[in-house]
Amino acid sequence: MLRQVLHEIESANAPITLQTLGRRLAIEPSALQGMIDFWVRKGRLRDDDAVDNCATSGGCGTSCGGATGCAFVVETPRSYSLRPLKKVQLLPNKA
Amino acid sequence: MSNPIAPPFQLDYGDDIEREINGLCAQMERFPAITARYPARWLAINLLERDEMLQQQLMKMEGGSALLTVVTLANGRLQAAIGDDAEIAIADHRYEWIHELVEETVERPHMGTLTLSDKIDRVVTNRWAGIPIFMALMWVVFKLTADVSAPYLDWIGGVLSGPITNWTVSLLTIVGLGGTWVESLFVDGIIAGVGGVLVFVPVLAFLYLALAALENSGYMARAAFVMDSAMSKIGLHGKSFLPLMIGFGCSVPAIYATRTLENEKDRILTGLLVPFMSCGARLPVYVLFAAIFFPKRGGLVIFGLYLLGILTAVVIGLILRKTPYFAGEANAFVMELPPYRMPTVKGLWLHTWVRIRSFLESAWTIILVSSIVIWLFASIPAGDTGSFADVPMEDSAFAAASGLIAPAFEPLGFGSWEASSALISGFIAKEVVVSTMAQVYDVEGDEEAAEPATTFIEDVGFIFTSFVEATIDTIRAIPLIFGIDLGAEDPDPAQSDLMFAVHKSFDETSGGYGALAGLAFMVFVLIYTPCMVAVAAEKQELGTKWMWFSVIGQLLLAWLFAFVVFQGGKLLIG
Repeated sequence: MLRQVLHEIESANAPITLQTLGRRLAIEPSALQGMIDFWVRKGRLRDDDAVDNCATSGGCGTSCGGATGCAFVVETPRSYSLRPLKKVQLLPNKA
Repeated sequence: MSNPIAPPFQLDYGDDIEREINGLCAQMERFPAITARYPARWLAINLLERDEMLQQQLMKMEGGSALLTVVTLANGRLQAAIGDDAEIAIADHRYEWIHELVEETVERPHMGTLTLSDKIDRVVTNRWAGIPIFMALMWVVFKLTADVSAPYLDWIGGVLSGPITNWTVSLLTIVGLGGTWVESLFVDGIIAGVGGVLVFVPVLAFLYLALAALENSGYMARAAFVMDSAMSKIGLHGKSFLPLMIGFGCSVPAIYATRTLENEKDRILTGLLVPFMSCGARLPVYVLFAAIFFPKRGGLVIFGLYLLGILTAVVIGLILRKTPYFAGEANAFVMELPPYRMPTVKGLWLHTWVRIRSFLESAWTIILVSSIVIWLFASIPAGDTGSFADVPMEDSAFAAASGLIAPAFEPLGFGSWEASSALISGFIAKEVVVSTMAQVYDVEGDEEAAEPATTFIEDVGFIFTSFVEATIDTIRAIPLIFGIDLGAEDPDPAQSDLMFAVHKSFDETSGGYGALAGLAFMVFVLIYTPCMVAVAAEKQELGTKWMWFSVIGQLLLAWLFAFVVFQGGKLLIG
């Protein structure tokens, strides 16, 4: 099941929504979110944590509305990117 | 009669994992201190999952280190046997078991039925319809911004050049400063400069209102998804479009937003493309010039400029992607779409007000300071003509300095010192382009003398009556976007003094091709170097080398594009 989720994302080759992923795998969104979080912890997915804080912290003196006012920053959707495969980490050697 | 106790539940993790679990349980019998504290099977499973807290606890217990060594070996064997990390395999078994249990026991009568959100998404995120729908909505946004806000733009302009200027002059006269350089500072510097930008508050308000409606409804997330899909299909990183979309508001947070891209080359490439997304600060320039040279097609021209910026970014991105440095593959990613919801009036107002407030705050900082600085240089005589604060604009130090680079713009049709001074000041902030033009064209003197004096009451009355008229005209202009005419004010009203002066100047410098020169100017403003704060952001995020690449590259590209527009247009028109 976990592997299926990752496989679907890898084979999509394009952005895919959580809703579509859930429908394809017949998985409830809440369960799917748990699996996504698992892969984020394992490092196969990255939680992009879409910018919700303007780095200029309140405006740069132009038409920008700053962190809470930027036209496109405030509602950018949450997304998770696929990361390249890493070597499996085994238990660290006992000191 | 016996009452058997149901055996404890035990999930089967498969032969390989169960073998290692049983092995670990057998090993644990050598360490009674450990088995006295933790259930053996539970401990074995958690150790195979590399539970860090448990590992730390065991290190403090007798036999803990030895047990951990055994676990390490077990994990190694599992990795070799199942080709996977034990934690993943164990979690996978759990999820599989839960899924099967749910399938057997839970009845979902509506499973498979699409919700209203899903049905809408099938259309707006459709691979063929998604982009045209996005473009159509953006077109409506820009029409709303350019056409519907026009009456309020005129209202603010009238209030600033009328009552506000009158009251300022009257107050200064009362304190004995009338007719002095102080009056010139306030009227020709601050009111002309800051006021020249404040008139565009309605434009930005309508833009932010429209975008807030799209955001609050949940559509913007779909737009980001659609464009991400499109980007990935043409070889650009799909995640790049989020920072690019932010660039439509302001380049600075957009450049910082490239941090969401893990790959450094994707980050640099996206950061280089962000400035081509026409930021909100450029909008006053477009609105002014569209009103001057394309009064009936303002919305279309502005939309076309935004489109040109996007296309330029796409082409530049594709070209750079072909270079060895930036070559690479796009990564797949998953995006969570928020549910659709009906925007609330309060939500729309809050979103719009926060952004307008920030713009107004900037008017009291950068724009005010730059207006004063420009007024100062414009008040210093360059030669023997005039004295401080009493020198014709064209004989000032500011004109002399700007005139040095004006020849570079002659092939583009706007080789005047006024136009070049506006472009120079645009490096501080793009809003300053318009405020500089309002100052350098210096059109208020003669008009003020011609108008009869008004009383305070008459001025207040003018403010309110003209506001009501502007509101009525705005309401009438809304359905006009869709071709429904409710008797809205003629979209081609008499031009203001500034508009007339700009029109005249561009006609002169272009040899009669004023509209072409105006279009070339807008294209130049679209493409050339962003403001100094954005350049500073590029330096911080992309590095000095790429910052210079962007600054010089955009200047050259802007000149080239404007040249093609003006000279190419002249050839076509004949």
